[in-house]
Amino acid sequence: MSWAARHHGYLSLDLVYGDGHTAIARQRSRPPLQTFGLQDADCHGSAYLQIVNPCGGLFEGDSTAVEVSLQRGAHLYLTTQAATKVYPSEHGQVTRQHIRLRVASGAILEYFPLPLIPFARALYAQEIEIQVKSGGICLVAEVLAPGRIARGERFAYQMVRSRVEGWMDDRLALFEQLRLQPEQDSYAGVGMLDGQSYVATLYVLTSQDLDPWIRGWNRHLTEQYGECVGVTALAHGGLVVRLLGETGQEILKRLHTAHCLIRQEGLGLPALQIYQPFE
Amino acid sequence: MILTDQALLHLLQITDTAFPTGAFAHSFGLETYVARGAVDTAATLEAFIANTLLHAVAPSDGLACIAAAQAGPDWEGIVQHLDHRLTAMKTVTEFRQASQSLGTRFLRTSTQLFALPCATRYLAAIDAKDLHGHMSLAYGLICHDLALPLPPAMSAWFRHYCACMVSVGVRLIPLGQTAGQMLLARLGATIVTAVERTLGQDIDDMTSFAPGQELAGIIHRDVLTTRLYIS
Repeated sequence: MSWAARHHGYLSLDLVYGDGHTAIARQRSRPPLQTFGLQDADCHGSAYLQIVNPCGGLFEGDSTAVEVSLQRGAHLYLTTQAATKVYPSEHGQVTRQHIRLRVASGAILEYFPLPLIPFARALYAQEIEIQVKSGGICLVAEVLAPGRIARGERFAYQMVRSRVEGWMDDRLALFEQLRLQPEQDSYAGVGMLDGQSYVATLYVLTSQDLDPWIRGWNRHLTEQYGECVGVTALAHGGLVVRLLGETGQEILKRLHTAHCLIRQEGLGLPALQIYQPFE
Repeated sequence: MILTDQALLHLLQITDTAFPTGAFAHSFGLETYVARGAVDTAATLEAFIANTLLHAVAPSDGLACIAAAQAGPDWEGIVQHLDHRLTAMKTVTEFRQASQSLGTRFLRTSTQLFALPCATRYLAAIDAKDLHGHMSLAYGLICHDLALPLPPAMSAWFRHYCACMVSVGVRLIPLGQTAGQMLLARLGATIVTAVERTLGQDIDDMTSFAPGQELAGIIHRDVLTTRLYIS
């Protein structure tokens, strides 16, 4: 059985660059996953695209897959139309999402899905595989909410498991895996969430040397937000930004600030001209 | 596997906090917490050590250590795979460098004391810059070479982590020596839980979740103006 066939919902996108624009060369999808039409994100050839799931969330046992490939020169800012809401699993079946991102040399992919909100009793597993060729750039953000706070749900899910594997050419540059089971453990304490509720991470895989910027970014971010944001260099190129926050708005704003610093100062890209949900 | 008298003596020696690995010079983010005032009592120190042991050290380094200790004839392939994975997993520069420096020094000293065929080959690969060298893999291979039984070996190693962190806390907060020993005694239950959770798990289950500690490690390197510890 093919990779695509193993999942209920499926979205596959191949993007190319030509005539000053990033364009979709091929798109295949199976409901419920769809996209909103590709738009120019700026006048420098980058594009903006939203992944849409009209079901309003992921339900028990759902298995979806997203596969995105960028060819040389293509530049895509990919997001989701709404937060990913994971509904309760009443019969013990895990809800799964699998994401594969492939970035060619000279291409740039920015994958910034809106926060993941695991409802009470949710059982969720996510895998993200990133493959970047030397000279390509991939930025991937993950924001994890504690639950439906307005309903009084905080860390009431059964499990959230997330695995991120990033490769620069043939070298493993990044490996992250977490498995949170709030019924078994508390994550609020010192060394963990430090009393905050939201946690986010921004991964940046690139062969560009960003080390000289990191100390300055950390001083700037700490001055602005306290010790809730930090940037660290990976062993073989690229970096990771860790973020904590008390509200969704707060952490998205911090993530945006870090993203803009890295994008403009570190990667030399023009300012991001995209609506941000905290604005 | 039974813990023989000889194995007990080996274990006591290699997990002694005085064993020259340089572990005493690392706080793994604790110094930032103390500077911030967020760890200022025995209770908050205990929470920091217990949380980081249960959610970062044990499920990542602990599983890597067990895999190395239990590896069969294909141990080199497993260690090579885990060496790269740990390097990619330790995203905080100071923590990654600490793991490599402690691991390499641990191997260098241990191989002078005992006949350690696997550990010696790991050290040779590190010296040749083929591998990075991580403390957990070094300890696992030495347990393998010395035929140390795993449950007590893991208890001893996790206790070593706790003892080092208590020592940092006692000096920085500061706490009295008796308060430090009482805290170490209380951490016994957490150490047992950490060992129970790691034994029987697979390297595919390797996880780590201590964002606060990681942020503290980042701040330690780039923002903290006065530092007594390397990490």
